[in-house]
Amino acid sequence: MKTDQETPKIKSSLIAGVMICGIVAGLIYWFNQESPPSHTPQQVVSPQPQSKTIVYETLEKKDKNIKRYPSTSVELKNISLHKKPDDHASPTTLKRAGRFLRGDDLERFSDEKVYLPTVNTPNPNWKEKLGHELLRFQPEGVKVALAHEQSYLSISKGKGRYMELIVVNYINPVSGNTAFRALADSETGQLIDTWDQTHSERPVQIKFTQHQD
Amino acid sequence: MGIKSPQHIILITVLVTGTLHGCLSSGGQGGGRKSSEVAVQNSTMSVPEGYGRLLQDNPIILSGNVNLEATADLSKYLRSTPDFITYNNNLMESCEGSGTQGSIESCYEVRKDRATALPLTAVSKRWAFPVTTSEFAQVNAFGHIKKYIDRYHNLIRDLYTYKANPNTPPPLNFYETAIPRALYTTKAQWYGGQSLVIYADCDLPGNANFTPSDFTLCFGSYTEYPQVKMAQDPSVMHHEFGHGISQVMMNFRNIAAGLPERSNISYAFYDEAGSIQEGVADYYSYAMNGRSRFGEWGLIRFANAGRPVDENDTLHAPGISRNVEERLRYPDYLTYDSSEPTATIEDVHYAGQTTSHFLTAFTRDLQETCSMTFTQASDTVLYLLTESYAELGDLTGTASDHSAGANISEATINLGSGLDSSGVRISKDWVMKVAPINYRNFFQKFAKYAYQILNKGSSTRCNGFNYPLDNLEKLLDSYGLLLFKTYNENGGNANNGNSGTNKQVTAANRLKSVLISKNLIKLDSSTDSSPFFVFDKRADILSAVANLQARGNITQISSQIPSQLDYNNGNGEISPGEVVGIALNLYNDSNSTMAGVEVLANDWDHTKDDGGVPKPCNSFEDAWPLSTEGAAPSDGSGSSAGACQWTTRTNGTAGAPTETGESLHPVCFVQVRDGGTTKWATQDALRISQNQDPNKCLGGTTNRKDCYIRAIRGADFAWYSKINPKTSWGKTVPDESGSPTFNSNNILLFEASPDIPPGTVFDCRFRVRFTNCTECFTKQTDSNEDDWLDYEYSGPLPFKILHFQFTVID
Ligand SMILES: [Zn+2]
Repeated sequence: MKTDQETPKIKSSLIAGVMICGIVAGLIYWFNQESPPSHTPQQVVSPQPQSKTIVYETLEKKDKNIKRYPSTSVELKNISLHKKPDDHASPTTLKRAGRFLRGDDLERFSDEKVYLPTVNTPNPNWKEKLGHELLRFQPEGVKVALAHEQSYLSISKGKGRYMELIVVNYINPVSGNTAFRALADSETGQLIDTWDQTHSERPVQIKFTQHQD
Repeated sequence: MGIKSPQHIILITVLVTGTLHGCLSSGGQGGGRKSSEVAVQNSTMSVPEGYGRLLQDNPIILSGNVNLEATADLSKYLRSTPDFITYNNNLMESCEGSGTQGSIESCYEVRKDRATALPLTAVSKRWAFPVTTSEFAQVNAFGHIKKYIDRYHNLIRDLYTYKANPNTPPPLNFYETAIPRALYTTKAQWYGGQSLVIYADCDLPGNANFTPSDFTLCFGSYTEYPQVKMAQDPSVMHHEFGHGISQVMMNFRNIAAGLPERSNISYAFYDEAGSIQEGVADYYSYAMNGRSRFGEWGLIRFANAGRPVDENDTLHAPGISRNVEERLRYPDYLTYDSSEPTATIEDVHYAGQTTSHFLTAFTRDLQETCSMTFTQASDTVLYLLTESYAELGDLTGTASDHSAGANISEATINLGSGLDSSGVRISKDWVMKVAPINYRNFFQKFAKYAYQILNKGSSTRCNGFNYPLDNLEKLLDSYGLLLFKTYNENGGNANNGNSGTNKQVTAANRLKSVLISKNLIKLDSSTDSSPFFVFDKRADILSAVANLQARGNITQISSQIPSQLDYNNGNGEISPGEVVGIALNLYNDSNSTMAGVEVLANDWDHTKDDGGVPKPCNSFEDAWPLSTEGAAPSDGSGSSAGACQWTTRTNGTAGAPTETGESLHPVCFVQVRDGGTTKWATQDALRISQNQDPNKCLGGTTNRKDCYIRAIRGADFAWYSKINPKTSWGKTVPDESGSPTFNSNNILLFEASPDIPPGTVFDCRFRVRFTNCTECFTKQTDSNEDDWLDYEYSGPLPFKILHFQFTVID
């Protein structure tokens, strides 16, 4: 099953293919294969990353502001998740506003005609806000490589909340990298829930020393 | 990419390997498979296409020398017969699904390390490399993990198709399996279908890990002995792979249902889920080699960090044996390290030994009682572990696709899949902290499946016989694990969780499993101790917050808290604007060892609405506060939604009209002046009396209930391994200096608003329980000694309530 975001890309590529009749065959091949054959002419391959390829962006604290840019190959050196897992969402997974629904009463609210009040509004700067949340307690030099996997609309007690499913990779040159998956608020960037944390045989112990009078 | 015939070869190899265990030493002295010790030059052209060579076991076992040097020439332990690796040009392989569903083209691959973008490439289509090279380690990892991956996929396919058969509901099926129907269509059998990437030569000194966020395993080497790699020790790799597939099993139902969230195999530096999981992972290693210890080369030889899995192993201290009186019993051996038997160490690996020893003993029992081969018996244990983890990790709350006696939409485990007010799935909080995996719940679930599969209804799945349940109960008891009264077949559903079929444990089988009243856990009141420890050193807390955040353990910190924790003054008191760590000084007032002590600081159902103002209920065991001190008015007769005696069925989410007046409340109340008297009230009452803008509450204007003091989510529960009789936790687990080492799992983190008026007095009402507690899981008022229902963990009854009262000092 493909996500909604992929559809326009495929459609526009197909239109381009029709216009450039010499490469129609190549396009049809691409559509069927979901990945371009190595001999596909350069001009018909979308410059966008493949739909199943994860795009990483680096969040970095610079002069109290969060800088966001496409992750460099050096930053991604130790990050191995480069492909989105196949989208095997179950047949009951429903959508609204192009987002997967999550929570209560999903069947009803998947009908866009049913009014759904929301408690937040997606903010185009949610990643910067998230970066601020993720980095404000971190030591100098720590960065975050962020992968955005999916957008959700969570419904609870008849109200919607926009959320983003992300993979957070902390790049810490001193104490080592860490990673986990999370849901973040699409407006404030605040983390809502986390999972898929690393299971280490020898985790670094966090020590707490007692106060001595 | 699918290779057919070689897989069959491997299959046969697995079966043969399974039967080989009997040839190996069970005394733990390093095995008897000594090789000819003639060096085999593993050159490219010495093998056919698609082949390479593996170290058939770790170098200690192959050499028969427990003191083998790090610099030893490992080529002496290669056999000349090549091993089939893969005909693929890269070190990667596909996996079959079931029938036409669930096949995974890129199922697993091996790369050198995280900096390497692609799996290893064959040289002249061959996989033979000199034994000292990283390439050899990669091929060795591939070959050994491939054996387990094949065994795993064969087992799960067999369960899905024949043994558990989720597509056939009862009564045609003889038990309710937790394996979901959509297992293969959603590729839930392989965590959604992504490639497991194995880094065989990772930059991870003396360590190994499993990272579910990118589905990777990492195997390091020793800084002091760079030649020694974890990837040379199959037992270590199989342990780590065991973590991976446990995580996969825990999420069978979640992935099949299309949920984005995942359950974790553990949640803290020390918790019982994590400790059981370490024992289970040690067992995974045992299931492949049948040996009495694991990690002979990767852990024992160079890090003194191996673990036996059988009392017969000579690593054990004197006094430990397979004799029923001398087993590695819970909770006595939770902090036991065989290499340092007098030390007490709160660590998941050592604590996990009770689990591994029980599982190996149960395997032997299946071999003897059911005349099973080692492979049949260990496959049966893996089957029961699969069912147990699939149900325990279930965030859909349904436990099975066909729960008998319950409507499918009604939850039977982990309360339910609804969202709480902050958007977190309630079931996820249940799995993580509210009703988490502990030694009682885990072995009850394991026993339920053992009963239903091997014993119930004249089952003949004990290799044609009916497995006697007394065997299991007596064995569990010999490990101190018969801590449950029933098999809880009827689940935890609010409507039918205390009715329906529910097999009871034979009480006479409980001889060594000790249950203690919850009333015997207290705060240490001795004159030389403080009932609490407060940690507020800036550097410590900043490091803790940064670490816990980077690991994904904690989510939000209030924007009211400055990012350098400038208010943290290290005076051992709670001051405005600080992030503080709090540990209760817990005391065991009984004559037996208490274990699996958990303190909860999350929101719970302990207030009642009084004319629009929530007030603390005083009808619980703590009878706090007095009616004259601000308590909610009494319920009067009867109990209905909104009353103190009524525990919310939906963790406070339903509201009107289903559960009018039901909501959760944070743990901390505050003293406010009310005319001439002081009363205990909500933090919002203090805010109103202070005329404070709700914008300045820790959680902002929509979170006024914990405006001034707030437990940090993810650090709102604490675990303590065990407390010896008549003493405190601190004195049970001392370090060399005699005082305890506090780890992150021992500490609750709280934020204190910069706007708290100095001198303000707070009272936080924590809920505390422990695993071997009489009343914390079994409902004493139920005539069948059934378990508390899932929803009841939102309330006071399954817990001991302990108060932490403090004055904020500037
Ligand atoms: Zn482990």
